[in-house]
Amino acid sequence: MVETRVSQHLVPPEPPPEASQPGALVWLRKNLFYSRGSTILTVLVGAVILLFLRGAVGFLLDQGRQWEVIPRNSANYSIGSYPRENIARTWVSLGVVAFIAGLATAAWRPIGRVSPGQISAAVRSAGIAALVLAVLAPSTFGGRTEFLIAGAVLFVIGQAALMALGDRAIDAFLPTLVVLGAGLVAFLVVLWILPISSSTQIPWTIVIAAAVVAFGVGRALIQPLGAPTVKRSVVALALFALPVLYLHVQRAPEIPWDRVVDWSAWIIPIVVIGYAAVIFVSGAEREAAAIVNGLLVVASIVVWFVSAPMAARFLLLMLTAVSLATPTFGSGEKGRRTVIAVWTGVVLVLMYLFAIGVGTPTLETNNNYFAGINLTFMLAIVPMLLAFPLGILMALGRTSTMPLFRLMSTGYIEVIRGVPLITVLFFFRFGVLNFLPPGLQPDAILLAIIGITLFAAAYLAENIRGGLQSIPKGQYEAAKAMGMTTAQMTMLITLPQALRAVIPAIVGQIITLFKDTSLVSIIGLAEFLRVANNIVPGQPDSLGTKLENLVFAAVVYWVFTFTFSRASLRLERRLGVGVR
Amino acid sequence: MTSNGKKEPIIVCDGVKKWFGDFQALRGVSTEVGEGEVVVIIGPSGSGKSTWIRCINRLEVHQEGRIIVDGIELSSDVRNIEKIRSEVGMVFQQFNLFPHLTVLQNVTLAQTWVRKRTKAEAEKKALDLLERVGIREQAAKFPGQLSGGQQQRVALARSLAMDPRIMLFDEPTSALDPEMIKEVLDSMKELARSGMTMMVVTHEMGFAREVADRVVFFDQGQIIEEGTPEHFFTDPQHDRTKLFLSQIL
Ligand SMILES: Nc1ncnc2c1ncn2[C@@H]1O[C@H](COP(=O)(O)OP(=O)(O)O)[C@@H](O)[C@H]1O
Ligand SMILES: [Mg+2]
Repeated sequence: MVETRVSQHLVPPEPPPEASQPGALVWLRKNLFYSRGSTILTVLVGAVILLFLRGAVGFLLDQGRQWEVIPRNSANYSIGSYPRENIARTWVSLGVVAFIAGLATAAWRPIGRVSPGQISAAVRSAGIAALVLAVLAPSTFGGRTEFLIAGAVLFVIGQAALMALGDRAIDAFLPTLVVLGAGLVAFLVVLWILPISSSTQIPWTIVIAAAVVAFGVGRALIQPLGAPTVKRSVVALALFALPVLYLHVQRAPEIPWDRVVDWSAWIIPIVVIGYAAVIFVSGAEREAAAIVNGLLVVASIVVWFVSAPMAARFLLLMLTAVSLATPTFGSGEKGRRTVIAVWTGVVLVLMYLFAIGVGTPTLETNNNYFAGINLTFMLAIVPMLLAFPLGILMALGRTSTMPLFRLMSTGYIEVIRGVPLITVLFFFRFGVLNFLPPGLQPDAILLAIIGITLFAAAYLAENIRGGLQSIPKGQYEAAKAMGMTTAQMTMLITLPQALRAVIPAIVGQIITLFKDTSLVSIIGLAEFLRVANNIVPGQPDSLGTKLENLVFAAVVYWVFTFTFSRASLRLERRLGVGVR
Repeated sequence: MTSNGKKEPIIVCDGVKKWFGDFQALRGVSTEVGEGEVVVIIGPSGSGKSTWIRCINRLEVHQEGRIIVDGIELSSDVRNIEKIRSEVGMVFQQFNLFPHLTVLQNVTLAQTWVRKRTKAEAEKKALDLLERVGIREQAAKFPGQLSGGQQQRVALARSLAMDPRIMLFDEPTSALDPEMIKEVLDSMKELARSGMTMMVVTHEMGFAREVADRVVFFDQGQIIEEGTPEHFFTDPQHDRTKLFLSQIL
């Protein structure tokens, strides 16, 4: 028998039960010593950690360690054996990079905040670390008292700050920007007070000033221009600055004006035809546009078989690309203005690059490649930037319905993924010269960049393909049902989602790439690790002790990869908003 | 049978056949839909209803027969299928909103890229439509933050923003909790009264009774019976129709 029951009154919601803060002892018992087995394990693991720490501390603080070798070699670490009489060139480059970084910071204001509580806790942890170091230090270590005092002071400051902040420790926030600024100021103070490297004080100050000024300029521009325009300009500026800086540091070319004049017989007509073509295509019917684009495709192929300057061939290729994209992205009144601007930009950039690219180097480049951490960064950042569009193209190719395109992409990916990076590097350093026209002698860094780019693109393509396959069919159908073309659907719907889905994989790849740049030492480039392993002989400021340098190198790699993976975690969380 | 006193037919299907491998999903579908007509399609699961209406905006490609939409025959010769699709809106069972874009961006995206409207025009239109389906205040959210019923109304606004001449609905309320079905159906009823040409696959008989000009019973890849809602709910002729109606009513 089922009895009928009717609720007499609605129960109002109650607050959740108070979560009691467990004391330290309770926590220990619950997490480390909750059974006999766990107690044994805790003691064992604790002993291993202690032994390891003791060994590490003993190594770090041993009397024989010469840590001063690292600041002494700061120039070697930064630029290797780049000729010191030309060092101003590298500072100018750094200044330009700092300027762009300042602009970028203004355009994409780093959101995120740091709480004073976190800072206080960090100070307290540093104090604890110093105390542990002092206790564990080997008996020969002379600075024990100083460490004890410093540790105690830091601990007390951190703890006092935490207690003073009380509840506000977690709610109050400092914007990241303030922390960033404070970091820069602290860097300058250290630079001017500690006698580390007196020759770099002024250039560093100027570099940081450039960043700060750029930040101000960026903020001032956002009002009148709007944030999107500023962002786009910063990206364009960065992309344009990279090759210019490279040539400026690496070759210091003289522009061959007579050759530029020779080209103009080809260039000027192409530029004029270019304007006519994109203006026509952006307003034309589909069929008419297709005819013009077809003619351009044919012309851009034919021009490789007649004697024409390289600059003209590439310019025509770019024109074809711009014109092919015009029906999709550049129709209508606004679209027309965009394609005209794009074409103008393409002409200027390409011509400038060609002019300085073919110029005679005034630097003796053969032995003086710029090196050190700068080279490492360049070999990680530039190939990654270049590999992105290439990898996306390959991923789309491999998933496309066009058999030729698919075959090419698949073949490329499988070949590159089947060989070690070193093989690719060797091929580009030594093998590729056989395929180039004589007289064209790209330098080793450029070849390494190309090799790493092609290598990274293959892996990137596979990652992105995975992302594309994870997009539900309904997304394609919804996009098509609204009348989007395949290109629009890819650029606006599927690719952005695919890229988001594979951020973790891509981050892993970038980290691997960053560390793999150390392989270029095999083809004779002095990147960061090689400098560390073999502090360049013949430099007056080299002490040449290896262990300290290798430990330092490991720490530097770790700091950068760790920071990067943290930052990307935040990015993931931020982009995760829209995920269903 | 098809004229219903309406104007020119805007959709014409004539002997449409479609196979998936060896399996024939459509076995010769012929009918006409007049401008402003609301056609409700009912039928058992797997009978080919989705396949049929997806052929009308060429998400599926039929192999035999003719489909003419707004005077243009759909065939592999059609140069500009995007143009036709932009005139035919579609609302899916699974909403298919773009999860990486906000509600507002979902509704403006195709307007700016396909209809080439300026951003301001597109946003005004989007906000008006969101207002009309009752979720204007959700414009800045992402689809994942909305309930199913709200998502489906965004999907409706997204299609309407293209100013389509025809709207196709494929079981728009089947993935919704019962209490959300009404809010979506209300928006669809309002649309029907505004004179939109609609083809609606649904099991909501109340909706069919209230707004349909014609009900089509579909089974085994073909039209078994069609007529007014009145006819269907009082005097169905075919045995299959009777069986089906007895099962769902
Ligand atoms: N892409 C496909 N490949 C193979 N068979 C399909 C495909 N789509 C649908 N079908 C089959 O076609 C028939 C009709 O499907 P559908 O049109 O979805 O039916 P309904 O919408 O009436 O439930 C079903 O038997 C289904 O299994
Ligand atoms: Mg269906």
